[in-house]
Amino acid sequence: MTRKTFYDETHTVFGHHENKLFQWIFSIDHKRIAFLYMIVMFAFFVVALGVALSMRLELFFPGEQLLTPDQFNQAFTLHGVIMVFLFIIPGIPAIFGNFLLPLLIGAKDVSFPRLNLFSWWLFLAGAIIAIVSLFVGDGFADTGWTFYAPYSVNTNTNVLMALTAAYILGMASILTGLNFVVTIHRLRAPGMDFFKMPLFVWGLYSTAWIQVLATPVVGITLILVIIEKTIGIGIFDPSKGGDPILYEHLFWIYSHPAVYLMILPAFGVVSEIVPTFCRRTIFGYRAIAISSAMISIIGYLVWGHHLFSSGMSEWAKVVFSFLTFFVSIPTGIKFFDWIATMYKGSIVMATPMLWVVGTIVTFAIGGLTGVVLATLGITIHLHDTYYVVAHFHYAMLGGVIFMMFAAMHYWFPKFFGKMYNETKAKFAFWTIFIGFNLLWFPMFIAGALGMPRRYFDYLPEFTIYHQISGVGAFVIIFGMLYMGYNLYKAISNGEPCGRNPWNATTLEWQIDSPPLLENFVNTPYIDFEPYDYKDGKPVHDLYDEIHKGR
Amino acid sequence: MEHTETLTESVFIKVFFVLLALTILTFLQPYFMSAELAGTVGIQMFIAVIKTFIIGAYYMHLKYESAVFKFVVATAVITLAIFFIILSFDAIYRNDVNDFFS
Amino acid sequence: MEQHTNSGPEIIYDKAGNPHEVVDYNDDYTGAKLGFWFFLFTELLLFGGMFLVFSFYFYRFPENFVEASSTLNIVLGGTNTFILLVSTYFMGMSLINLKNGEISKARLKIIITILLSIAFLTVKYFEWMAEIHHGIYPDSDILNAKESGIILYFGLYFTMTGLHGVHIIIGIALMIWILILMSGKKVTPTNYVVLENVALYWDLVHLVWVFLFPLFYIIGLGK
Repeated sequence: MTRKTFYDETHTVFGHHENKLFQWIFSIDHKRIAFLYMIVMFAFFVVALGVALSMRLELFFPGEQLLTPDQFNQAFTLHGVIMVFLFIIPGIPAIFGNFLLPLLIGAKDVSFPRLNLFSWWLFLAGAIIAIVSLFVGDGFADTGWTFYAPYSVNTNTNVLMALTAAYILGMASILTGLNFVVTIHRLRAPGMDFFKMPLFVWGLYSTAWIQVLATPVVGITLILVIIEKTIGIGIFDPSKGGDPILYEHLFWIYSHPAVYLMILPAFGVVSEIVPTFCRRTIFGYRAIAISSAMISIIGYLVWGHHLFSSGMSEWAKVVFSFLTFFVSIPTGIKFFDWIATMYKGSIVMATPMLWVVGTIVTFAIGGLTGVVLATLGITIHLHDTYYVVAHFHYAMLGGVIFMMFAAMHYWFPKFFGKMYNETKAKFAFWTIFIGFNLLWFPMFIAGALGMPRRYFDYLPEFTIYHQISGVGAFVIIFGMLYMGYNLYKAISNGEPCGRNPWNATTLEWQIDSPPLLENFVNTPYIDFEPYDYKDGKPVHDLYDEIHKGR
Repeated sequence: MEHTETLTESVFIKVFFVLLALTILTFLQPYFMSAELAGTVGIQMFIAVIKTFIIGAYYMHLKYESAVFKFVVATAVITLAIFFIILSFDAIYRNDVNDFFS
Repeated sequence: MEQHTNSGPEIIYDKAGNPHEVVDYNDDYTGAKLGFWFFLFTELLLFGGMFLVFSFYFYRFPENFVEASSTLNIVLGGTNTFILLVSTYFMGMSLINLKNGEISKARLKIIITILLSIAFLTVKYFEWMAEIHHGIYPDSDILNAKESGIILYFGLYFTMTGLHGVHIIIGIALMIWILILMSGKKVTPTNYVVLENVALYWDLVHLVWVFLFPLFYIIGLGK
């Protein structure tokens, strides 16, 4: 008996449509909305990769190759704006959060499905405005994705459009966060209290709080720059008594919690994958859950470490350095618990687990180099060098994006009911992992030796580092395209697999692949903790209970 | 499920008069208390905070809501307070000589 | 929107046989209120950010701020304070009326709130015009010639009262929308969460003014 899946039928916001496209872009089903985000985000990801490649090519030799100095400034701004605002902040929550959150808590949708669709439309509007600003007037902004005043106020490039786009994208993020928090509070299946939720849900919960509480601050900051540019109120203009450092404070009050917004869902993904492929309960469930909340909280206190060399008071620097050291502790707890779970577990090194192990290596490097940068004496030397660039790419690419790839491989069978080619997936992993380290590791050294970031040109002694990185860039992009191709082929040609090919324990594996429109025919009652394994097998199987009477 | 109505008309009116009195107080304060600027700002903000509690508890119904609502409000307010406190380290000490480590 | 054949909430049973009601996301009064409170926080943080900026510069230029504040019209500002306070009374009462089934009283109070809001905006308009006629507006030559603290004070004045005014306009639009919903029986004595949320929004708009007014007007009073 073929049941109708969410691909076959849907709810839309404006009533019934015959047209298939309208059934997707007006759908209020959280699973379809996840797809809508996925398509737009991956398209922009590819664009940003192209921009990055152009920068690496430009920097392959000293001197000017294919970009003028002004175009180079626009290139790193465009790369940053797309990657940060259009890809990594929506990131895992927009795709995997949207698809999986209701499934993980036993709900039929999120609390506000129409608001969910509206968030996507806002996201699309912001993306379009950002892209349009590439082609009109003086071209894309050249301020860096950080839009520091007073340059952002004075430059003639399309900063106003970029800021407007960022503001709209921020609104989309806020509404999604709001939706997720209320969903988690209200729609958990009966019996599932907070400490019976899967850890990915804890990650999404902590992330959603940050989305709601931090984003408005950057919202007002961007509005203030827009007002400053248009009517000149003077708050960031030194000639009128304004303070550019205040801009930096306001900007980073959001943008630092934003990086936790990026990594917390990724940590949640790790916590889902590790117990499944070690075939046992996760070590320290409560510690991991609470550490997510702690990272979220402490993450609000550390923004000044982006301002160490901008002219803050010494007192402020000491306070921020101390608090930044502190925030590494909850992350350390998570790493310890994951490794403790793996210790003496019967590990299945399938592709998702391979990605997790890779991330544990790369994010550890990213995180530890962050602690180095938090040290006041060293940071003066390393600030605004390639060391910082390597640090945050190890954390963001090697942490968040690697986990996005892990999530893609872990939940692929749930989205499509099929399995991809394992050998090709593993080959893609190794290519990406090797390319990644070739691309970014030399930058730690170059940065420590003095290579500044966002520089269009450099002294000849740095050439070798840029060239190794350049080769790495080609390798990693080839790997990513190969990985994408493998997954794409599997959508139509993959082996059909059952609803739970990994023998996992969480609720999303106890329903069909792909899921029905309403997810659960009957809501299950949850009186057990997640990741309940006995002798390597899941203890609970609620499939029949969920589908009784269908 | 509707909870039983706890905010009555008479409570509402009483709260209005309390707020009115506090508002009048804010106008009179600079005249009968010749405080320095810091004192004036302190008292005015103190009155504003009291008004906030009253408006939040009664007009915005928080007194009668479940713990979740109170927790959510408290978190937002504390977050904002933290921003003020930490930013003040820079605002106050910005122009001090940086000689901590010399 | 699809029609739901409402056969009542879904009830499921645990192992001991106890019934549990499953929350229906299409009919969740608490969820609707909770979601709106989260939205109010974003507003709190938005205005909070502006107050951060204000405090920063007030700390830096206290005498300039006091001097500039003393040039504002306390009568107009004070009138607006009372207008707004009274309007929150009417807004809140309209909700109480609606819950008691007194629909026409509720409607009247919302209309009064709208009129008071328009009065607020009118007074604000005259205040702004007074400044602008004196040549005090952002980036004007007269303003730019003054001291830094005064330039920043008026920059913040126009920005913050402007942002507040935008929220009042949005509030008026929301109130008109509520009146339409009430005529269409979408907002009723048993289904009033939308009015409750608009009343909460209005209380927040009032709260912003509760802080804005003393910081802009009172600090220069009596000087």
